[in-house]
Amino acid sequence: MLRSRYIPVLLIEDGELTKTKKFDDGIYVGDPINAIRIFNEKQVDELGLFDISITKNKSVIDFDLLKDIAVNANMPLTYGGGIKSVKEASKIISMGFEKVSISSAFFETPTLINDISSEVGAQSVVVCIDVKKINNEYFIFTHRGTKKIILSLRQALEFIENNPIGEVIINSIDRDGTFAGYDTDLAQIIRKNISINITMLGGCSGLDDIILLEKKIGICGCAAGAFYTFVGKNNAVLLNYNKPIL
Amino acid sequence: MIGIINYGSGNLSAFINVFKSLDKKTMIINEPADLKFCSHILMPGVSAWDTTIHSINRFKDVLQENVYSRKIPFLGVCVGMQILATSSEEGTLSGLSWIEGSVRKLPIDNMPLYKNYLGPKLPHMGWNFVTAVANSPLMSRLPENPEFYFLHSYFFDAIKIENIEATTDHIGFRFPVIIQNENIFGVQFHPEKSHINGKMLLENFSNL
Repeated sequence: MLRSRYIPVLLIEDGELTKTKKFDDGIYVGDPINAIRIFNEKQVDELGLFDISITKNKSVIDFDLLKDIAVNANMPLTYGGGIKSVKEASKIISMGFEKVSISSAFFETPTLINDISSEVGAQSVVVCIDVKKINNEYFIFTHRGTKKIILSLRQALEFIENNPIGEVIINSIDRDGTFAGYDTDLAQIIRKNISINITMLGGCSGLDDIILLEKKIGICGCAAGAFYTFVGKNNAVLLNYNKPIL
Repeated sequence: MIGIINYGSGNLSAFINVFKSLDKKTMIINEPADLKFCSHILMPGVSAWDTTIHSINRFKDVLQENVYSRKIPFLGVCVGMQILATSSEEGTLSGLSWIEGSVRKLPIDNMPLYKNYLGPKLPHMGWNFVTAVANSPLMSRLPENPEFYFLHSYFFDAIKIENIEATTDHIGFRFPVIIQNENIFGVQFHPEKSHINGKMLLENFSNL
């Protein structure tokens, strides 16, 4: 039987690692290649890497950096950020990433997912959605939380369910970097509507949050940025890895 | 010299890193003719079936010669394992037919456990426990039921039980994850991304 996956998530901005809080500008937390080496040693289950500078600055995918990352990584990798074509997606997979994550392009060009899937296989296709709660209702945003999409959360989930996708990453904008715990209400809505792999991101402050999430929605991906980046009361930057004992 | 076939897909560098840490020499095989320098052949795979079959086509004859006549050890990983079969439900092209069987979608929705199962269904993604038969060459020295990283929706439905070297279970469905026919091996999981267990398995392969 599978177990849950415990996944550190690293955010890249202009070639450096950053960590945001509620999708703010973020603070510098180190060098990507150094982080890969540290997480290699810690034998992490998987690693998620998202370049958040691309859709904001309309820049292009930093393939040189991705190549460097792939060459140094000994764990399964997911990359997201600015993927807009089959060619880009399959280039990233052939570099050594296991999965590519699509966000804004999925809602802009829905047919893209089909084309990427038939090239690299649906198991390697991830959709990442950024969710924000407004007046007790969940909405999906793209472009670093600045553009609200027209579909409701349920419509979007139905759309995801009917496409060849292997995993959906649900990123809570409200919980990002807050250590307030996972949004388990949101997680339960996702679980009810989605049969593919679910990974929750945003708010994790420790193993108790992970255990609670698993209790609510069963086996899933438990991703965290700040939890695996900071230690201590003063949030000193120190990459670390800890997961529940089976 | 372990030849790693480069057909434009798959994570060659992860394999190279592991073999480097084991002090084993590797060579990236860009041209079929380069295979003659190799003592071992490794076929990675992260792609859909038809894409893979199409891209390895130019290696087919030379592979046949080295693996069948020279009998050098061959290891196919993930889709690189699946292509050893005759056909696949994921595509229309013909496989290598080196090990009897076909590639099918994991039929987990037929399993009694499926109805009330909360967790992820397909793809079979993440870390799962692998059970080997006794005296499995690739699993020698590994702990009992070691964990490996999986990422797939299709599996190798082997016809002969003697070709099955290890299995795993997903929602009550048990299926082959290491297959063998003499010097030909296939693994469904990703040893190059499975940390220490994967490293030991690749070391076992390189010592064959």
